[in-house]
Amino acid sequence: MVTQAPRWVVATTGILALAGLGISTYLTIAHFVGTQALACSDNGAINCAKVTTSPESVILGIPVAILGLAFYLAAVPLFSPWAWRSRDRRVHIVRLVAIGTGMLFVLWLIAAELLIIGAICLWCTGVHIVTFALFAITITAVPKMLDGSGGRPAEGA
Amino acid sequence: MAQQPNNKKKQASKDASRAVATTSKRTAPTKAQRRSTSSLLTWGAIALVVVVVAVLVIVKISGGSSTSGGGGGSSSPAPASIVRDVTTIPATVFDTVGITSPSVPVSKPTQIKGQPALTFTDPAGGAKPGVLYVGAEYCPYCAAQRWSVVAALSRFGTFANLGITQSSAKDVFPNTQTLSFYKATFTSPYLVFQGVEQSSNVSDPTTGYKKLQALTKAQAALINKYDTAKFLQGASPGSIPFLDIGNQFLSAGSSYSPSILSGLSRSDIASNLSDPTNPATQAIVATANYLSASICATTKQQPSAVCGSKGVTAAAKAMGL
Repeated sequence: MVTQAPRWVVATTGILALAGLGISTYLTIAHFVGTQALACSDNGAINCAKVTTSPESVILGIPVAILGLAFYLAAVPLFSPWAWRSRDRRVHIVRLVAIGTGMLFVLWLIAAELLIIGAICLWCTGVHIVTFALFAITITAVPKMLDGSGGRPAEGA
Repeated sequence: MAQQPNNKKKQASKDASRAVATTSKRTAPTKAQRRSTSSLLTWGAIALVVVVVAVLVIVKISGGSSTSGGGGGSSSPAPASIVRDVTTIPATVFDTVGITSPSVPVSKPTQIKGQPALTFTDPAGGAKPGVLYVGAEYCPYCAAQRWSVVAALSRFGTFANLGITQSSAKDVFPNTQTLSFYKATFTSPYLVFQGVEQSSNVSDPTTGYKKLQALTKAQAALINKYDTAKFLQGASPGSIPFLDIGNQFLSAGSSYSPSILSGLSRSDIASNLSDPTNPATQAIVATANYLSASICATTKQQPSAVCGSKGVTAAAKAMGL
C-alpha cells in the first residue's frame, strides 16, 4: 500500500521544483544570449561567466544548462500534487531515482566548480541548493510512503 | 493410555503454536528495525551529501585545487610583423568598417560631463590630455580590448616595446591571443598614454596571478572614483579593463565579446586587420573608431586627418558628439 505524503512535503517540493525550473530556464537563456545576461559578478571566486563558459559546462556536447532545464521540466510534474497523490509505486520510485541521479550530478558540478574551474556560479549554486532540498525531502518522504508508514492511504489505494 | 497419542498431538500443537507465537514476536521488532534501517539510510544519504560538499570545500580552501592560470607564461616582445599590422591599419579599413560590426555587438565608451580634465605630464614636462588603461594579462576582456586600444592610439602616436601575451587558460574565453602594455611606451604630440598591466597570466597561490605593475596613487584615485557604478552603469568597482580618456569618456570591460577572437592566433588577428569584411577586424576597428572619436574630443580634434576621417566622424555622430 502506498500512503500519502504529508501536505508540507507536497507544497514545498512543488515550489522548489518550480524555483529550479525558473533558475535553469534563466541559465539556459543566458547560455544562448550570452554571459552578459547573467546578473552575477565576474571577478574573483564568484564568477558565473567563468563557470558557464568553461569546458565543464558542456557534457557530451550538451550544455549543462540544457541538461538542468530538461531535469526540471521532468521534475515539475514529478513533484506536482497529482504525482504525490498517485497510488502507483512506480511514480514514487521514478521520483526517488531521478532526484538521486540529480543529486549525484550536482555533486560532480560542485566538484568541477571548486576543483577544476576554480570559481562559483551563484545561479548554479541556487539550482544546487534547490536540488539538495528536493533530495533531502524526497528521500525522507518516499520510503515511508512506499512501506505504508507515511500516513493516510494514497488516493484510490 | 489410549489418550496418550492425543495428548502428544495436543502437545505438538501447543509447541507449534508457541513456535508461531515466537516467530510473530520476532516479526514485530523486524518491522520496526526495517523502519529504523530505512530512516538510517535516509539520514545517512543526506549526511553523505553534506560531507562530500564539505570535503570539496575543504580541499579547495586548503589549496588542493587546480588554480593554475596556464596561458604559457607572461608577455614577450611582440614580433615586428604583428606590431606593423596592428599599428598601421589602412585608413580605408577604418573608414569602410566605421562602426559596423554585424557579427558581434560593439559598445560605445560612456561620456561623462562636469569632471576635471585628465592630463598627464609628457617627458618634456608639458601637460597633455591623458588616456589611462588598466588591465591584466590573464584577463580575457582586456585581451580583446587591447587590440582596439593599440589600433586607436597608433593613429595619434607611436608604440614601442609592445608585448604579446594571452589570457588565462583557466578563465572565460581561455587563451585569447593579444598584445601587452607591460614595458611598452607610447609617444605622441597630442596625448600621454599610461598603460598598466596589474598582473601576468601566471598563477600565484596567494594573489591569484603574479603581480606585474602597481597603480600609482593618482591612477588608483582615478580607478576608485570613476571605475564604479556611479559613472559606469552596472560596473563592479575596479572592473578591468578600465579606460579613462581625459576624464570625459570611460569604459569598463571589453567593448565587444572576446568570443570573436576564439581560436585565432595573434598573426591571424593582426594580418586580418587589412580586411574590412573580417568579423574580428570589424569588432576591433569599430571599437577603435569609437575610441578615436573619444580621444579626438580631448585633443581638440587633432590630428585632423584622423578626427575628420569618415570612420571617426561616424563614431562621433553615433556617440552624439
